[in-house]
Amino acid sequence: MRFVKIIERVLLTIPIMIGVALLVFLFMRLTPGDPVDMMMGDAGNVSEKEIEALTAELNLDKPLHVQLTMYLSDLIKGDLGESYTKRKPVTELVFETLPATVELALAATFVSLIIGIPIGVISAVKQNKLIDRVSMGGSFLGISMPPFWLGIVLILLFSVHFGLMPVKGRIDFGYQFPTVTGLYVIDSLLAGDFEAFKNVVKHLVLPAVTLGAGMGAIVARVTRSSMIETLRSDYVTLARAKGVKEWRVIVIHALRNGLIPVVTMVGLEIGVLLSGNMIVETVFGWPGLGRLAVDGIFNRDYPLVQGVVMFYAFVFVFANLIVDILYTYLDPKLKT
Amino acid sequence: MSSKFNSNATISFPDKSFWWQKRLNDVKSFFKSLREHPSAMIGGIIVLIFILMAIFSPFIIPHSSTSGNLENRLAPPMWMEGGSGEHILGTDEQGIDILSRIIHGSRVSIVVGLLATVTSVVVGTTLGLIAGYYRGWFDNVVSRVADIILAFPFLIFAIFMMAFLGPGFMNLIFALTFIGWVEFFRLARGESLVEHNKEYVEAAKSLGRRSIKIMVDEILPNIVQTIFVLATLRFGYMIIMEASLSFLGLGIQPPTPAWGSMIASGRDYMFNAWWLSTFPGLTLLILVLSINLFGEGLRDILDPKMKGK
Amino acid sequence: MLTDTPVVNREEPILKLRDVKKYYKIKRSLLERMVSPNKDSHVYAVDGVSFDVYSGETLGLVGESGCGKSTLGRTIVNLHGITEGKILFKNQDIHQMSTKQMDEFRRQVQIIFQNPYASLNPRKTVYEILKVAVECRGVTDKNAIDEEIRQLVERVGLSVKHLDQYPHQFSGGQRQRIGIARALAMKPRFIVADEPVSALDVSVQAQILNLMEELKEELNLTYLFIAHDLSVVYHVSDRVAVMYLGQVVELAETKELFQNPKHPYTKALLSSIPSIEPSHQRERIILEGTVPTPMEKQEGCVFKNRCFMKIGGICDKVRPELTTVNGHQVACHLYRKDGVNEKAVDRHQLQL
Repeated sequence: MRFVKIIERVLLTIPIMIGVALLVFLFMRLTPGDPVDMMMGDAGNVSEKEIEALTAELNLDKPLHVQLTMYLSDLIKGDLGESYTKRKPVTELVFETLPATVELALAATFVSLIIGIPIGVISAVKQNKLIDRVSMGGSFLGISMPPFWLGIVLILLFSVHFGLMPVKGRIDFGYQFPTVTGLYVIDSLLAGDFEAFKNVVKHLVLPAVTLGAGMGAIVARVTRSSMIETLRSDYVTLARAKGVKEWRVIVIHALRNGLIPVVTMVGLEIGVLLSGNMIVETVFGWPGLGRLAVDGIFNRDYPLVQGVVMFYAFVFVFANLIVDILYTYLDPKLKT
Repeated sequence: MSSKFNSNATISFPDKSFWWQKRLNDVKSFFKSLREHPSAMIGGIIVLIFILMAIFSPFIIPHSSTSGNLENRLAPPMWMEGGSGEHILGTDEQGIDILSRIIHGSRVSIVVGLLATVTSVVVGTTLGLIAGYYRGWFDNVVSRVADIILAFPFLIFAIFMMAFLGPGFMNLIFALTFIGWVEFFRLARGESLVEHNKEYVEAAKSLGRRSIKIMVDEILPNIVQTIFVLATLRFGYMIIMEASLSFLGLGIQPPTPAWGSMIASGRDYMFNAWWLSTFPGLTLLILVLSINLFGEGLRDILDPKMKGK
Repeated sequence: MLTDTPVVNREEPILKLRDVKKYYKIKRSLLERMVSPNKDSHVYAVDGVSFDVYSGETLGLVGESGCGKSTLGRTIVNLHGITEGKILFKNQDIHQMSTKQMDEFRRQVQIIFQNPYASLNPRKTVYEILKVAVECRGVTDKNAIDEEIRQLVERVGLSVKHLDQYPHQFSGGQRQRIGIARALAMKPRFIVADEPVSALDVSVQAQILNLMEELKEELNLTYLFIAHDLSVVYHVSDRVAVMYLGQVVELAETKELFQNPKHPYTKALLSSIPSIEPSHQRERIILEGTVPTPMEKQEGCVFKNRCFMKIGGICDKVRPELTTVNGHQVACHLYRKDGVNEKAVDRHQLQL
């Protein structure tokens, strides 16, 4: 039964992805204004010939249904089109910038977990005490925080005022190490270049905190409520009755089950992480996917924008799929 | 019979004003329970102040919010060296008073946030009620569309739409509503499904009430509180979305003051004038925080079953 | 109660059911449908029910939970459509009615629900609930509405001071009174009472049953009284129909049915009523097995796999028709139109 459910869930992503592609396509074609005009907009004197060339390149001279079939068949082949400004396939650009984005997202998740889980556990144990109220107030602040502004404030404080951290970018000039994973933190360590590693981490801290703060706040709240429930459950009471030390009860017995909702929540927050990425990468000049898309928007590079958005949607749908499948395994209530 | 009825003075039937009486009682008891949630109360008061500020902003701004004195550009806040009481929070790169811009900027945030939320609620709730009541093909079609829109992270889809629609007030509302209705649809549909199976709906049907009446008069009053709670929490989210889009230059365009674009333009002066980005952002944080505080309190009061979720 | 009261008109039934079937299709996912496209499964909630209800009588409908009696009640008031068959109210097919005729039907046929907690809209005051009902009958004048509401609440044993209260402020019994008042607001001829007292305390049950009895005589109502509690049915009904797995297996005058049950299922059911007098202690018949799932179409007799008087192959293959035997209508191969299927009974007794 569970297997059938999973297959069904996997199959369900197909119509959704087709719908996503259709929606993006419709938006590209149905918005007012000719994309060619908009792309050529600022260029000034453009010859007829150039316009015709671009129109042909974007297949805009063909009927709509032909455009749609070509678009869909390209998509199936994994072809997201070609960037108009960078003259490169969008897929290639996406995979060039992806490691930076993945590194930032992983770091942010890490930050959110190491902040959120301990706060959540302490709040649950000291429920309604002062420390609980303070941490829940803090998490409330984190949830309400506009991420782009938090980034700027952190830069103002730690880069401008104290001069502790770099203002933007992923690494300073002058460091070189071979690319293995594309994640600089790991690559620099693999190369044994400790100075480069320090530089990379310094660049990573502020964006990761900015991106992870909101999620950390949610992690703290979810951990707290789930731990409160777990600490009340019979098996925890039993462990206590057996004379197990309180910290062992909390860490060994309760935390294992208390973290199940946190896992699902982290999966579901991937969308927030991806969205936040676009903003945070802009603020910190981080050379990732989000920057690529925002640059594409300002350069009116529509094939690039549409390609990146498709990619984002694909990742998001896929992530939700993984979470749902994991959930069927983690949640004992769903065992049938 | 009727004379006997009239002679009995103690029996008073509810008259036309009865509905209002009821609502008034609801409001009264709501404020009573609000007093037990001081944080929600404070949040509500601050939101109210912001709304009043937005309405009366032309009358309370100390200086012009769109033009300034270039000779007095980048003046620091009054408590810093070189600052003056004339410009309490300093001036920006064009010499425009920041406090005035912030006050005026509350209009964009409140109006866009409110409108986008209201249109999302109306569209989502209407579709959700109908889908949950009739189910069938309508439900299938709308639910699949909702699935597709949910396949995009909210902000990314909004950015994508604004990139194609172009910046502007109406486009902003349209883009935010296009994505925002989905959550309300799902909530209203789910609740409508649950309510539809309850016997009071069957009772209404057996009285021969029309479907539209059952939806609006029987089911809607039972789900309106849950929707209102979600709407309050989403109001704050919409404001952050608007500010994010304006920050990226895709929302409200200068010279109209908007907090998001103020923060963005302040980034260029980060090293010598920190106040440009800091104050609009702080105001944004206070407003969103207050809305969320109010929304959470509201949830505890109106919808105890959702507590802690 | 047990003798024919003059108000009962045995000539012309007010309601006729003819081979009524209600199947629910079980929702299957896309994948399941792709794998086996022809295997639609159904819940056979009501599977071929025919009986008449005469004007002025109370027909009790009993059966275990899940036997389809509530579904049947809801199809009669046209809350659910039916899959097959005909429901005739005053000789008119209720599924062939125009909108106007349906409105008239709704006025004449009302339902009282089992759960008085779910059947009243929690966001409406008693006044609002009753006002909607009176308005649905077409009364528009405010004074007339108020006067009617006053009479209604007082008739069901509440008072005007309850009008601006909400359902949650009442006890279960009071709520059921409100539910009855709402049904009465339509001035109905026929009321389907779907287990109206089963959710109430025993002490309150009698009050509600008495109220219903009074109203019946006063307003010349006809009841279809659905219940699983046999003693309640015994007290209120003129005739009783016994349902098992979507079918009526026996229908007879109340006294006849209780004293002289014919169908094995009825026998088993009645043997389970505890008697206060020790001398009347019946031997209890314990049925083996469980009620089969209504998701399988039953071939032959619905009771065959639990029957303690099963004859043989015929029970597995042929569905017994509801036939009249000594004033009973019974669906069992032990009996034939002309009386007892002697041979079958003999053989059965031999086996015993």
